[in-house]
Amino acid sequence: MPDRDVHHRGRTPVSPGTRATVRPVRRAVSDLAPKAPGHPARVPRVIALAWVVLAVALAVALLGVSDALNLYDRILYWGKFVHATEGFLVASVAAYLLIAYRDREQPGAPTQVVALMSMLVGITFGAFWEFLAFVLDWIRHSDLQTSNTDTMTDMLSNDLAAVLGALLALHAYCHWTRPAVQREVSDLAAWLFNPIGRLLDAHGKLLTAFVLLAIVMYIAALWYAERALPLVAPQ
Amino acid sequence: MSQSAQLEMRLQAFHWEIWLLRLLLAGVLAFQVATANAAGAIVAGEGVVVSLLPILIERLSHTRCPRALEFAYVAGMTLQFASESTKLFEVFYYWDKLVHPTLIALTAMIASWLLLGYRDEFGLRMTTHFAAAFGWLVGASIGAFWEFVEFFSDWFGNTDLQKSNGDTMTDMLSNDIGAFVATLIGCWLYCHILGRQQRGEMGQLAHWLSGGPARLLDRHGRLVGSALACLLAVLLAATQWVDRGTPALAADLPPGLSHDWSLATPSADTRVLVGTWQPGGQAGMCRVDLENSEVPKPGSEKMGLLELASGSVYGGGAPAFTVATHYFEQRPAKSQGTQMDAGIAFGIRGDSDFYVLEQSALHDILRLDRYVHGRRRDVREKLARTHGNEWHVLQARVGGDRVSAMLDGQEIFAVSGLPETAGGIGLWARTSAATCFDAVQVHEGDAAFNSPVPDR
Repeated sequence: MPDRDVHHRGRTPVSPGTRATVRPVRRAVSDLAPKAPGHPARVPRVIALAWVVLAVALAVALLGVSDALNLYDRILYWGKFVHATEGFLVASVAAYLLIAYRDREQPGAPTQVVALMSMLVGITFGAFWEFLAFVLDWIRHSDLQTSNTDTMTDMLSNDLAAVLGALLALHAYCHWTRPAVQREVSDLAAWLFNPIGRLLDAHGKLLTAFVLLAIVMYIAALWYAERALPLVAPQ
Repeated sequence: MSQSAQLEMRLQAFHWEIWLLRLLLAGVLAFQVATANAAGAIVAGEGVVVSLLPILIERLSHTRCPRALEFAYVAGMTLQFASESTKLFEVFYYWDKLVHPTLIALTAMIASWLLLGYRDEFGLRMTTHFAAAFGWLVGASIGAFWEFVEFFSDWFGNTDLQKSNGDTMTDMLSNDIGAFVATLIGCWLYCHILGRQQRGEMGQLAHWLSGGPARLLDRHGRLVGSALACLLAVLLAATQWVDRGTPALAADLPPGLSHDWSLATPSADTRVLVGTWQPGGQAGMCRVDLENSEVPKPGSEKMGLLELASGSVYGGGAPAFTVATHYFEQRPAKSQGTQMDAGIAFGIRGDSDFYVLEQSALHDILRLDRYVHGRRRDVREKLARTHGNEWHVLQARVGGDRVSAMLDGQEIFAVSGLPETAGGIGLWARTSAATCFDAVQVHEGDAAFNSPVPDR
């Protein structure tokens, strides 16, 4: 059933003072936004953008610091902590943006579907991380995946944190976020997602071909690691 | 309504291709019963029952199950249960890489159809992109979730469903690719092929299927969440609980000595702990694929463990020791099975508790496992490519809590922090044909392995 409350979601007007303060930043951001004829770009506000940037920065910084200080080897189960944190951040950002996008662009999508989708984004992110580690181990003989149990427990910590992150982000959005900020997040989500939709509409087949090509290259890299390449004479 | 009109409606409602699939499953069931394969018959029977689920849903929901959706579901179940019943996963290399993505692909297709149908039936504003992304994510996540089911089955039931890390990753990869392709095809079919009636039925079915869970979560969301969290906590605690109480070493066992075994003839100080071992045609002692003088079906191969220097303890307070062996993994004939594993066991405290360093010519890995109460716990794994019908030298150096693994004289990995590595030593194998060992050396200390290997 569609949500009952979709028709009652209000938007709180932003005060003129706030608008004046953030206008230069908005203008700068709007220059980055893809523009399409007939779709005037709605520019994200600073607060919403700051939250998302902070989450992404935290995720990247955690990876960098862990690698630089070799924390994976120094601290027991540090890898599980990193996986959990990354899954939490990805799912919570996805939930925050998707629920806001739903409010603005797709008011029919049930909240449960949005919640489920946010969790699935976090879970799939964890799987893709492992794919990356796997191909690096296979091709470059790095030592990222030490065993099947290690991989599975990494994914488990990622997935549990993703579920928690999505639920907390949705709760935060629905109960702790002021309508004005909700609107800002909606603008940001639309600014991020609408160009993707337009791109898929315009060049869907081309993008699909690119994805399929990437898949073929990934499999070829796995298959031909340590094997003779076809049509290339061995050295 | 006239009788002819009623008959025409019934004929339209009769989905012959779906009943053909069910008939195929019933045929597999009959074949397994005729050949007295009880396990295979049970699996095929389960498949027949599960394939009837859409009919039950139709009765309960008073909604007709759309033909395309029912076909996708029954096709998936037929593929899974027919493969499982006839052990095709073990008979053909990479069969699972075909079945897994197909099942996940059909799941992703069904998920996107249901959401699109729900959107259209209830007039929701939702883009097709969103529904497609949802379908793909559902497929990818169910693929990942299934790996957890296999992981915990292996942990508690020693089912050996996850053969290696590479196997798990390639399963998931093929799942995600299958889900991606199927989502695209599903959305295209929905938009261009499926009629208004089927779309409406999909929407109604999605409404019925999601109504119950949605109401439950609305009313008792916190309770459901808490119950699931408790269940998970219990599951995680149980993973540790089942491994408690590993057997201790007897105090009066003598320390093991350096020794060379030429296994051309059975040695007096060897003892078979598990499986059938015979002097082999290749050379030395071979683990052959026999259980109680019968060849097990492909996929039912068991491990074999042969203890060397029986009754003595290596690593019990003494310095490091090194065990090395020269082995041959025979490639099984087609349809005979696919297992080709050879290994060195150490820290043996019984036929269910030991470490094993194993090389698999099937999965191209060198892996250190610990068996605890007969259940395998993988400790370390690394890609190391070998083939069947080849001779190789496998070597394990054990010093306290540290183990180094070598293949053909090259160190592949080293692991620290391992408990209870002291104990007996031996040879280990799992095979669909034969795995043979013609020489073994054990040295105390850091002595290098002087290959006693005949030139082959």
